[in-house]
Amino acid sequence: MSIPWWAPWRQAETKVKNQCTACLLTSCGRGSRAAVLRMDCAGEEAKKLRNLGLYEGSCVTVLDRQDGYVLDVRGSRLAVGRHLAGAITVLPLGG
Amino acid sequence: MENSSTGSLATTGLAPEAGPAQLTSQLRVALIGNPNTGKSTLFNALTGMRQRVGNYSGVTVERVEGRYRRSNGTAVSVLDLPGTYSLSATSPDEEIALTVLLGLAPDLPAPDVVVLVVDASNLERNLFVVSQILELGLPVVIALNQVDTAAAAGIRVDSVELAMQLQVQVVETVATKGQGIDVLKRAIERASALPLPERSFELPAPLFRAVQPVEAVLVQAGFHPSTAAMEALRLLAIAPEGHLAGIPGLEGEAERARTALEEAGYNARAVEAEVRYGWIAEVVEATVHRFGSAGSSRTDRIDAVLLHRVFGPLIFLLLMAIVFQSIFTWAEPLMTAVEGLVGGVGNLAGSALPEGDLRSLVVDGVIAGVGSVVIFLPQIVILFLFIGFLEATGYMARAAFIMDRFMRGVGLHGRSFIPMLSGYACAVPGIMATRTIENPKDRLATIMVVPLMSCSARIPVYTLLIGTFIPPIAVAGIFNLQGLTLLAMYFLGTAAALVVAGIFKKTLLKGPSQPMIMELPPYRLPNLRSLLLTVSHRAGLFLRRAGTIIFALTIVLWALATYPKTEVVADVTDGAAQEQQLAGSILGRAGQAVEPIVRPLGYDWKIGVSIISSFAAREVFVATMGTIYGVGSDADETSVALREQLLAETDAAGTPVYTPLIAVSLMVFYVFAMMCVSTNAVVVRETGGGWKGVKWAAFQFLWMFVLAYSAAFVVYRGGLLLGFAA
Repeated sequence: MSIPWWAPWRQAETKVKNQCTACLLTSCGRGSRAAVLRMDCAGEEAKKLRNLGLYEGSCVTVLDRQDGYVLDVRGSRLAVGRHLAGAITVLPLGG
Repeated sequence: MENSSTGSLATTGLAPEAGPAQLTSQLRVALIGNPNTGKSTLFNALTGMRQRVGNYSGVTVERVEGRYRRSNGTAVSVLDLPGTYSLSATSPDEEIALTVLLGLAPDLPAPDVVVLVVDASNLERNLFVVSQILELGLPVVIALNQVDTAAAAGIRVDSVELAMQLQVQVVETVATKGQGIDVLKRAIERASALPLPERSFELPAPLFRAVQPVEAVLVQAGFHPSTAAMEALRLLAIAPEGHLAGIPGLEGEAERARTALEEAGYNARAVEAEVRYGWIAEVVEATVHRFGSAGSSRTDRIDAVLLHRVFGPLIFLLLMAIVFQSIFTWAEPLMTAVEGLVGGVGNLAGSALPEGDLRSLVVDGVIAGVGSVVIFLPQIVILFLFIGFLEATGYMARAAFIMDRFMRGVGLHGRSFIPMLSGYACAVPGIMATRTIENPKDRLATIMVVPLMSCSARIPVYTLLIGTFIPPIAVAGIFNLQGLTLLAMYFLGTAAALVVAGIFKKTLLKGPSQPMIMELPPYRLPNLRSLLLTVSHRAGLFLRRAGTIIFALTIVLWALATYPKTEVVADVTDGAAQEQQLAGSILGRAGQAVEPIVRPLGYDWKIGVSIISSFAAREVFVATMGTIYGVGSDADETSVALREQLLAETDAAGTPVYTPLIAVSLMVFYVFAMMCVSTNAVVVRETGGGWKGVKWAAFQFLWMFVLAYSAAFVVYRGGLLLGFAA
């Protein structure tokens, strides 16, 4: 987290290695896939995310992470804020 | 078929005031679908130029309606509902869509046919709102749009199988090329005669048992059984608000259903998404075929550059610089042309009318006044062309994503950036562009500060004062003090906008900062026709305001500056006569009356008058100064005569009235003061209209005025203390 946001080498982030324990979406690197376990964000936001196809039990892929996250949710690209990503507990999947 | 009769009977029963003739002859179609499905392009392809843009009563959601003629000559009216991902009413847009579809909108009967626009390349997410709408008991046609881009991305949707799965007509369309529109029109004709669609999946037993009592309550309250089933499922995740508020026993039953589900091991809040997406997965499995390589898409490759950590923000800055630059440079010749046109019309009217008050009213009042507003039309059109283009290509969402981090610093969403940037051209389109901000508090905070961005109407004021009082000294070799002063004024406004927005978000409009949840649509080439239509709508809105509110105000202002008439001594010049006349008018007397108020800022009554007259529009300041100094009312900021007059003006003791310090203090006043009737009017409308809107606009005017006065005071008095008197 200490690498500044503008540093080009921040692109190369390692994927999460421990793949069998639950973690926050914020600790998933670019390209990693994960299953959503729990959403601890405000009700309104959770409702919105669920309607967009991101709900407990669904799968997401992290396409890009900067300050916010770009996720692949059911074939569409969803940008979510860092704060929100930090409220989503996932189970990282292989690949 | 019994569903169909109850459905349409209920519809007719709800809208007796619409008139029987209209109902029998006109088919009402509502267009709905996810954002970025090409819905508006399809709407344009269906209706062409015959469109009307307004607002839904009481809210600031844009209401776009159009019509086309059937072969038998009768009209079909088409309503373009706002883009929605669901019917769960998570935003004002979604709430409107739901209310209209249920026939509960105050001045709109329920549609006869719903056309669901679905993006073929993203069927899965699009089918969520489809699955909800299929349960509303309304005839539905699916327009499977953008089949060409889907094919290019290696996706083919089996539309026949999709029709079988959903039990409704499915028409393949490419709205950008007008393909499938005739077939769609035929399908719309047929839709009402076909059986109504209904839920095509079964709920798991525990869920079915849990929602039964909720459905019963809703049916009891008069809901169609199919709609009740949709609402019951939706209610598991939401509180009964809006049209569901006040139904006796509803919340109690819903809570019991949630508890029962939790006991059965379900997540009550997520269960609707779970069952719907579960069914959608099956439909997608049966209908979507992928071919070709599943390598990185075009959008992925473009995003790799445009969202790059380093290049992304740089490209964004470059783009904004181009937009900003072109608003000023490209608009310049057009604005000159408009100015010439207005002048020509004025001369024409002047020579056609006899000398007297009527001529003065028409030429100096109406034509000059409305002309001073219409002159900004080129800038507004260019700005909306850019915004529309960036929106249509899909870049705008990326811009909001990139800017989110910076805007979050003052508690705003990334989407607030573009309206604020637009404010540099003109606050009116900037405030109109806040419609993309979903959160009402963020939207209000943005509306409140957009007028602080130095708009182009301030340029004449800045140019006159800088050109007259700021010496063109070179600073650090390459810069010019005049240019730096201008830049400082822009910077001052921008910084104030950000600080004030932050203050609003921490006080009056306090609320959790809205986390970003935003779709980044695939990149595509915009449809020129759609783009031009949108821009012409915006321009039309602006012109209509110039033709009504501004028109009325210019007449009032003209009357205040003209009456009562003063007997002018015969042997003075025209200019001096004009000055005497103005001094005796209501406006002139008001200027003298406010002199004690502006005195602490170092201003005399003449500046007071100019400030008062510029309440209508800032650039009027220059014209009024011109009138006062007797150099004719067509003075502009570059008039040498006016500049010399200002420099030469001395008081009784022989000291100059205008010093560089006063000029700076006056400019600072104009940086902050809300002197623009067009903006006031658009704020009234965009903050909810009626009294509510008036209150917000008045509040905005007041705080900006107080800020302007205090800042000008601090500059002038501070300057005096520091010894900048001369």
